[in-house]
Amino acid sequence: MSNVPLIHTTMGNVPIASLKHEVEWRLTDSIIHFTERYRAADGSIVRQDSHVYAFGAEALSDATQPE
Amino acid sequence: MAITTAVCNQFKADVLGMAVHAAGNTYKLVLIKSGHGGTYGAGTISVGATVDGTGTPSTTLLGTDAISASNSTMGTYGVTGFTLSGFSATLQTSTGCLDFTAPSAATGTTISASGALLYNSTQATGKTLAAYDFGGTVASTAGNFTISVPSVGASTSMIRIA
Repeated sequence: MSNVPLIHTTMGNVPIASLKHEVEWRLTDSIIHFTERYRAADGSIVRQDSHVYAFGAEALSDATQPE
Repeated sequence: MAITTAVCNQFKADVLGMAVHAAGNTYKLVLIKSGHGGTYGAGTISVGATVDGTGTPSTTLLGTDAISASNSTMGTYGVTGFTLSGFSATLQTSTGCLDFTAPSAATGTTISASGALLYNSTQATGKTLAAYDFGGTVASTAGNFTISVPSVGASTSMIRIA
């Protein structure tokens, strides 16, 4: 059995060491988006994981109510 | 078309009506595909009786704007969305807060989404509670798609009524 770490991609299971690994963070008013991307030697994306942290939604009253 | 993060106006009326939603109902977070045709936000009323990726999107139907097998590789993501557990309605100082625990990651997905709708799947028409804008496209390729939710708090909870 091989001990080479593999990762599942659009090309099937391939050695993770053969891929270029990238990460990207994007912050907007409503989410934090973390992307983990793997590219093959030709630069094509063969796997991309996306993780979204969604901020909540708020309904505000028009007037401040007394406690 | 646009997505605006907002508590749905219909939900406010439903809460005051005290009849539509219950803690024991099933709540889901369904993704809205990128390139969607509908407009989503405070004016969204429901996702429709059946979320199956068919039908013309409107304020009462997610329809073809859903992530489905016709536009995505679904992996473990279901067309009806992520099932949410951990229903938690609390009062944080003077703000009413509704929260859930984060769903498990969808694996093996090739998905491109621009937002999500929180809805009650027990309710017959799938009434929406809130809309969430991703501020752009969130995409996966043969990988995981994960939604994390904020912690409970007056300025952080998933749905806040101040």
